[in-house]
Order: sequence, then structure tokens, then C-alpha cells
Amino acid sequence: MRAYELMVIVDADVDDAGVKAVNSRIGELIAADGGEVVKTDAWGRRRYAYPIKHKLEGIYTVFDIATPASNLDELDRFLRLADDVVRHKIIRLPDSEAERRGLLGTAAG
Amino acid sequence: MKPKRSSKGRDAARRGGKKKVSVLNTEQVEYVDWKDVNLLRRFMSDRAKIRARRVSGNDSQQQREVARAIKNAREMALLPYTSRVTTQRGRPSRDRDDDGERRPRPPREEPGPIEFEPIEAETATEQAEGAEEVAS
Repeated sequence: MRAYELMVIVDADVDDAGVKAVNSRIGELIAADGGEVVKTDAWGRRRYAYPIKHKLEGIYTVFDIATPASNLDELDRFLRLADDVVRHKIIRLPDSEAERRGLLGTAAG
Repeated sequence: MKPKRSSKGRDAARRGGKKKVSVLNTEQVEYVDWKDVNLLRRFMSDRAKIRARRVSGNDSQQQREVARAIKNAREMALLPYTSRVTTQRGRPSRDRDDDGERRPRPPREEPGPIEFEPIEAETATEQAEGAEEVAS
């Protein structure tokens, strides 16, 4: 079990149901091999610092995740292929920061 | 008596300044979060360039973390890669700011064609001729 942070930018044209679909798919993929999405932080619509695909804003969501690394390949593959996802980034959190956020405490990894 | 040179004195002699302290130290930041746009912006110039260590006061570890965080934030469009700065004309003293960035110089005014006044030109040739006569 390791702590990760995932940020996803969904296209601003996608409706709430579409965003939810992406989020639940992420949850499924993380749960596949015994991982857990500990926290979901929906930033909502946010203006880009520069235009992406001629759009000026996107829907941001940040996930705090505790999962074995075996889930990440599938997750990354899904995010790269999903048309609604403009960009995504998976960051491995350093242990000290994971502890501060209490990411691994419940999982007893 | 030999002048004593303490380590402190030598440090201060380094271009006569106080050692800069990074805001990471003053605000006790333990983890440079790439999502913290307001923190990261303080390590960028107004042209969105990453500030040099000598400007920001970071040590090498801090500088590496800050640079990494800014680059991550840029990929997610939280921070710009560039941002255009409009320069005002007639203030050449602001050509360079504290991070030593080059600004485009305001265009120089072209000197117009020099106009001769015909009367002055005539007197000048007369004087020249007079000088020649004296010489011969």
C-alpha cells in the first residue's frame, strides 16, 4: 500500500453525470486490487493558466488514494483513453506527507 | 595586531548583503505542494519564470522541490509557462528588475536628417578660403 495523489481535469463541456461517471470508474479501478480512495476533493470549474484545446476552463478533481501500485497501470490507461479527461496526473506522496494526511493509517499497510 | 576575520564577517563581505532567507523557512513549509498556487507564485517572476536561488534564498533541496512543484502545476494548467509583460516606454531605468530578466528596450528615436542653414554654410566656406589665403 502506498499513498498517491491523483488530479483529473475533465472537459468543461461534460455535465455533472459525466464527471460522476469518471469518478466512479476511478473508484472501481482503485478498488480492483484492494486500494481505497480516501478523499475526493472536487475543485469544480477552474480557469486554466493557458488555453487547452481552445478551452479556457476545466473541471478539476483531486483524489487522495491509498493503493498497491498494481492498480495504477490500469488507472493510468483508463485516464489516458477517456475522452472526457483532458489531463491527469498521478503523484506518489512521500511517506511523511501521507502520514500527515492520515492516508495509510486506516489501511494498516 | 592582525585583523581578526570571523566567519560571520566573511559571509557579510559577500557583496555586502544580508543572507537571504527563503519563505519556505520563514513560513515553515514542510512539504512543497504542487497544488499550492499562491505559494509557488512567490517563486516565479512576473514573466512566470522560476526565480533563481540567489533571488529566492532557497537551498538546493528547496529549489529542486520548488522547481518540480512548479513544473507539475504547469502541466495541469494551474500556473502559466509564460506570461506576457507589457513594458512602459520612457522608463529605461526599469529595464531590468531584481531577478535580472531582460526586458525589451523601448525603440530608440531615429535622429532626423541634419538641416544646414545656407547662410551658415556660406560663412563657413568664406572663412575657409580666407584661411587658405593667409597660409599661401
